Amino acid sequence: MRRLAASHVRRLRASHVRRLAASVIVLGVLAGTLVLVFGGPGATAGAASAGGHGLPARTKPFKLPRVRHIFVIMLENEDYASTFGEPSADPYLAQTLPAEGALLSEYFAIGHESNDNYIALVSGQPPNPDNQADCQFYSNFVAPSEEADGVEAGIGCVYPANVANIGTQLSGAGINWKAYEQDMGNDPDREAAACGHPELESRDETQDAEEGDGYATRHDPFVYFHAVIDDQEYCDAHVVALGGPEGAMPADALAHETGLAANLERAGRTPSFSFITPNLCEDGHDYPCKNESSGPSALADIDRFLETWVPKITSAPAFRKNGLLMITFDESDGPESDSSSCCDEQPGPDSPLPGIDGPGGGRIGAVLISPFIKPGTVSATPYNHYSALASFETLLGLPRLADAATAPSIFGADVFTAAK
Amino acid sequence: MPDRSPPPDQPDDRALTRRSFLRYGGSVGAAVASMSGSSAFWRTALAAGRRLRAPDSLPNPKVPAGTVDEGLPFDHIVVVMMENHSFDNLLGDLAHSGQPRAHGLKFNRRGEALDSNPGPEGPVRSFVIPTTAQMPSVSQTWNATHEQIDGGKMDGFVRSVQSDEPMGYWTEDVLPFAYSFARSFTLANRWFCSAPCQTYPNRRFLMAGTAYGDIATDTESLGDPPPPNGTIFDRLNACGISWRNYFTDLPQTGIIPSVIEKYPTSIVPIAEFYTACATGTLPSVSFVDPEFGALSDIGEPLTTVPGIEGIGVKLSETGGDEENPQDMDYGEYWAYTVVNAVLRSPAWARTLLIYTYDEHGGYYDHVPPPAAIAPDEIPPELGPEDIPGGYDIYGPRVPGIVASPYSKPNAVTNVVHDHTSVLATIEAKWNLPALSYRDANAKTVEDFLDLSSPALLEPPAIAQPPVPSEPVLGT
Repeated sequence: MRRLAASHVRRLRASHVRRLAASVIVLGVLAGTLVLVFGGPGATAGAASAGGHGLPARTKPFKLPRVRHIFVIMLENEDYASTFGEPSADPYLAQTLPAEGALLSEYFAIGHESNDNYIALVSGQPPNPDNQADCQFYSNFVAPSEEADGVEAGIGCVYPANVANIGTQLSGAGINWKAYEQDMGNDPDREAAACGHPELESRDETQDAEEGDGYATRHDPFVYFHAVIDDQEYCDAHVVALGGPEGAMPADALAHETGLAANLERAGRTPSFSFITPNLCEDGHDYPCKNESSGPSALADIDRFLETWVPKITSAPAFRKNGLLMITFDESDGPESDSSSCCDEQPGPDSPLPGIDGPGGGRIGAVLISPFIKPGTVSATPYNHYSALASFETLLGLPRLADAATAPSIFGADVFTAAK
Repeated sequence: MPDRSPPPDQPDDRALTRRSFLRYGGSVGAAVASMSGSSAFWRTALAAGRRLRAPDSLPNPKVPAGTVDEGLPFDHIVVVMMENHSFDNLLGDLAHSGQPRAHGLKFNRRGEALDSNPGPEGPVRSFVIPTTAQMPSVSQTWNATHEQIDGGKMDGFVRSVQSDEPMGYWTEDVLPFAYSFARSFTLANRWFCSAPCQTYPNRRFLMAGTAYGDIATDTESLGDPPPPNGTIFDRLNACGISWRNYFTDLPQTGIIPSVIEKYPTSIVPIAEFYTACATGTLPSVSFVDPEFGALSDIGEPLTTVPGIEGIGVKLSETGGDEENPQDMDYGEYWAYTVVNAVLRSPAWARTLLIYTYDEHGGYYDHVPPPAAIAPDEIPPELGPEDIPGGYDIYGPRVPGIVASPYSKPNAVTNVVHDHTSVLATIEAKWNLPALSYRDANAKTVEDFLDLSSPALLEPPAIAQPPVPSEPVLGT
């Protein structure tokens, strides 16, 4: 007993030290934030300088570029080895796009199955047993014990109104954001064409695609926050249908609802943060597909989506001025395939194994494209979804939420190789 | 013999963090803190006004208790709870036996298990148990189990009993029934026993949704007052829903003696189960018990309890059993017989069989148990020698299989379950009030099923294990 107790005291001390360190980082980021918000020229990346491996020592601290429009495309369930490691199956993703920007070869998912990765990427909240199992029921998050360091302790799916995500953070700063959800509202009997989600405490009937509608609520993270869904008008304005590449919207779309294509046309209409969820076919989740006809493989379906949308994004005025596009996957092929982690990932308080059968969501890789990135950049710095959130928040002048606050590195000089 | 060569990786320390400290901390922290830990858990929840479903609430509050949910495609629930095996111990090799999505042991390319626990002379690797014979040196007491879990590191199995035996596991060669059954239907990758301790508290959870203070299998606990909010049998009885506890040598309901006192006619020998299967006349809910063994943990205390002497009589009528209950071929054959009776019943089309184990039996499992909802305000009754802790974590992982025509063939589910998922499923089918916070908020087994299609209406053939040399009671 005495021996065990002593070891826990040591642990407690270690955690105390970590927490202090985290606070210092948060303070540092906050300080940087103020400078960024007020447009000061001296904004630095805070912890980012730790991110670059093997780079020549710089005399001046690296300055984060002034990225002001961030786009995220989330694909589904592939190991790094079968996507970037096997380019013949998905040449557009694995070869064409990295040649236009940066390949992050050591980018990891944070858990299994899908939903917890999406939640982590937009809020920094770690996996809990229910979202690890993809929230078969759209149940309220029950928080029986107290949060610590912004990390909620509890079990369930829809987080209480006091829990923030990058969307609500941006709204608080007066900055626009949108989640673009492909197929949402195609079948209005299943889900609405704006802010589509099941009724609270009911079975999620969007777990499987149906003909003509491949929207999956569990891949649309913003509807898992009461801070978003409780205000219908707010939610309708921010969680919208992706629409077609030429701007066609579902028949059931709201009068003012516009999709990504229309929003890309003029920089003034392009949100500062755009989260893009393809349907269950085009994100590679289903094969063969149920909502539409499949290509030769799941990876071919992914390439088809990217070939349609990436050029539209990268040629948009907002992107060309100060954009950043990240394309990644939610998780590896599954817990039994790869549930490794990186970046000193910490399990949540209520689920000791984020990856169900391991400490993380496995190695997935990511592509980043931006005017601030030299084509053909490769970075082997370890990153995960928490690092990505921390990077986005830092770039947009926001404090880092929950586990994003303790991510050891954010996208820095190793990524932004064309930063001025 | 276990392979003592060191595994390629050092023990993983990552699971042990400041956060798991919060949850597991009570298990090794100050005793005073832990006494309040369990009840503080749900009080805080109520104070926060967050929507934890409460005891006595109905799954569907819009209709009266006893209303049948026709959306659940079964009229008969059969519950079989075996004894004392962890997931990795029983099914650790399943990824090599037709279910690649099972989360068992990790293997190298030569097929050797890589899991290990520290021992006095270095790491002890998981090793194949070559026959159905079990070894004596495993323990699932409260203290041993907490030491095994070790704050989430799952590295105390060898240390807790000073033996390599907990690292043993079986393969399909030795347990053809268990492996064949697990891969034919839907298997839970995350079914945890309800509390990190022995049989009695875990079976109390199965029947009452709470262990109401018990942490051990001992005679004294049989004298405890009945569970404060009753049992699932009270709920079924109140709505006139038929149930039976079919027993081989001893009924598990004896663990809560008030059940036997109240419902003596519902406790019946297993022969009646086979008759009911054959004639398609199963009651709504059946708890079917294997032979516990009169000299086992369960059996011995029951024979001395005043008020249930009748059990002793029945025991003598059925001959009791003194065969070594630790040989697996016995239980394999019994379970095969019970499962086959269900699969071949004319009622199969409308039957749901839930098959699990009460606890891990002290055998190694690699998955740390997650946080659990404390069932009620009653803390575990801990002595001065007991490791402090609460009912707010599950115990180690056990096998959990659901067989129904609507089961997903050769599938797994990663939804977290514990024994109160059995209660939640019964309560959902007949809209019965919850017994505790635990079962009120437990998941039903719906995730094992594909409600749109009875793919296994024609039941699959399950491998028949060798017939044991001695007669098997209850077959």
